[in-house]
Amino acid sequence: MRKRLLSIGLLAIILLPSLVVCAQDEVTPLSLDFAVYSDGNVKVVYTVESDPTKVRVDVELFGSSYSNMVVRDEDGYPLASTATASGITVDSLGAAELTVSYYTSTLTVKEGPIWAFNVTTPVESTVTLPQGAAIFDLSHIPTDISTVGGLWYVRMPAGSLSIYYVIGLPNVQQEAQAAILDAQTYIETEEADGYILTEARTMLESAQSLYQQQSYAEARTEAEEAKQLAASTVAAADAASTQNTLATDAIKRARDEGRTDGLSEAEEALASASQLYQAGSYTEADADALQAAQLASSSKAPSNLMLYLGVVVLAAAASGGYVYMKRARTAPEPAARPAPTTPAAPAEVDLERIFDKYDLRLEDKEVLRFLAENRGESFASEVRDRFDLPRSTAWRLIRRLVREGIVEEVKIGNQSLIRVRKEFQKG
Amino acid sequence: MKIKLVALTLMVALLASSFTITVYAEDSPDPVVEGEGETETLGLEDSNGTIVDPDVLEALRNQTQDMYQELLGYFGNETLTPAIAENFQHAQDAIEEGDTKNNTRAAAQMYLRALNQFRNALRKYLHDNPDAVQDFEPGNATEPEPDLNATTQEEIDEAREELILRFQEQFRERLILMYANLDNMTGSLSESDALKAQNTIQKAEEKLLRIQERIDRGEFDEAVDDLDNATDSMDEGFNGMEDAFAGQMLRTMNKLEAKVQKLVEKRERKEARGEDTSELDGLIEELRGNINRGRNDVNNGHGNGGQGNGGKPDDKGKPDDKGNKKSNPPGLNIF
Repeated sequence: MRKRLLSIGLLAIILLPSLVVCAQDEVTPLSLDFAVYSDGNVKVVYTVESDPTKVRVDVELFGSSYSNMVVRDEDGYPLASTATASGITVDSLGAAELTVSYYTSTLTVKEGPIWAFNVTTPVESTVTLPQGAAIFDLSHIPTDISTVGGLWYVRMPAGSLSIYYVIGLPNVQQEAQAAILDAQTYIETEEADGYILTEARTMLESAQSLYQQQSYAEARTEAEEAKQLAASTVAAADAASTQNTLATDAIKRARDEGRTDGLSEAEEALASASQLYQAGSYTEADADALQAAQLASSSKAPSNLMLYLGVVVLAAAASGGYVYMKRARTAPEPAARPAPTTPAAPAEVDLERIFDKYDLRLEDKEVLRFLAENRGESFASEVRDRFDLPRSTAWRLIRRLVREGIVEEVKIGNQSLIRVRKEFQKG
Repeated sequence: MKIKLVALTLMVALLASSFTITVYAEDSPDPVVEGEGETETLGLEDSNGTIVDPDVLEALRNQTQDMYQELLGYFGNETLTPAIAENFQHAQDAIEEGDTKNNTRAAAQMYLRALNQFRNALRKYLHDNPDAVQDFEPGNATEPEPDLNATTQEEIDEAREELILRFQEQFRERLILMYANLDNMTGSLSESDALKAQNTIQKAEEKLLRIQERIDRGEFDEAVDDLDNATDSMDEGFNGMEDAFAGQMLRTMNKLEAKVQKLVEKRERKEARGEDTSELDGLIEELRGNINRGRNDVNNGHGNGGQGNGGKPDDKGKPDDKGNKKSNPPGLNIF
């Protein structure tokens, strides 16, 4: 009996190490992967060793609700499963290994922007966090942790584990890098155009140094300020350049006008402005150029030139007076009839004789009557107004009467005076 | 009795050693280990008996640094509240302390502590600035990806029919092997246990015949139920033996046979694909070798002057129901 027991014991000792798994539950966890998505959904892929003598096995799962459940055996055959209180019962049909994959939203909770992934696992597991996630806290020291393509992979030991993370926290390191690149590009471009940006470049170098020291927030701020400084320096340079041009013009004008008193000071200020500009001291250059322009504007001509200037002014005034007088003499007087430029004052018109001699249109006769009423003459504009004639019609009518030799047209200023010819006037 | 106790003690010791790894894995978070006076360097085993990978340690440290920068950048240059400033100070202290630790686990714990301080800082900031929640990207829908793993009920049903047939066939083969195993152990079993075990296998065999009829009628759902019942009944039958350990051994043998079947199947598929099967060959041989060694020990016990059967030197094994001496069934040769 003793020997028999000893034999069984020895057999057990030999076999048990390889059967420990078999002697336990129907399934033994092999691997467990969680892929956490940005909306809190988690894809679970759970591989277990299954009892190959079993037709059905129970598999405990993670989370309290499952969707898109797929179970496959080691050969890839899809297997039927039914939900239980804590997992599923799989028709394993002798499978030695089962891979269960499903989605669940019950493994994550969100407090404000802080997500927490909580799970209790029977085996070491891998958790993949969503794109843009930043880990804030871990319940355990991970056995492995890395980022690939912006995704965090965290391998955690078995047990109750929690991972806290935030999605969308600004990445200051990347922002600092971008700010430095932006500032560098801007500064180099402007320097290539001839601007001297010493201070901005120094600030940029400071930003780069801070970045190297991993002081990303400060590096970003420094880089942004470097670009701003470069931009304001360029603006100051442009302003100085413009002011320089204005000062140069003012000095030239003053010289042309003979205003040489105080002009040398303006020229000195302009030279100083140019030097400062060349040295990159744009603000000071702008100030000096402005001073040069003001000095040039306030420069005066020497006193003996005033006489000549007075003569010129008087001559100009005389010329102006002459022109004015001349224009005044020839200018039309709409209200008062100007004196005729031809002799013979207007008299009573012999309409009967005209009408007898010419076969005139009715409107021509009416115009002649109007002239007769006005002592034989009237401005063309008055004729048009009186009969409400278009300018072209009135012109043709008057042309006809002139052509027949009944009236004559006299230019007075810009106006035409229509007058019945002398042979048709009585007396 | 003493020998039995020794055997059981050895078993317990072996089982306990197998579970040791599990105990480590399920251990609670390691307590913070103070680094003062420690002489360990990075990568050396610490006082908890576990090492934190230097890469992991570096990644954790980098993450604390990144968080420090990220949060400072996010909070901006505004004057932080004393509470948040305190969190930052604690975090910084933890990072600095972590940097001074030679013990990898202690250092890692310090970095985790710093991360925890950052989380608290953010929570406080968000509490003081509720609108700041809008700064964070809202969670998007689950990334659409083609689920290559998806399957249809039709595929499942089709696979199930094939798997039922395969399982039924393998079960039948195992029953033959179980007869052989039982025959090898009957010398160590009481008469009632030997009979109970034999009945258990016979019942399973009978059930298999009825299951075959169901399969022939296309009643696959019922066939699965019956197969499940048959396997469970067999396990229960073995569990009901007076010698619990012997019953357990029979169950274990059944599982081992199934494992060998699976490995043989896998090897055949690899062979068909022209792939190297040497690894599988080794596994199968190892498994069979273990079983054979155990069986030989038992057999030697039986055949060595009647050892294992009450010390009767002329006893070569238990007679069967008909009083005939049993011989090894052909199925035993598989081992």
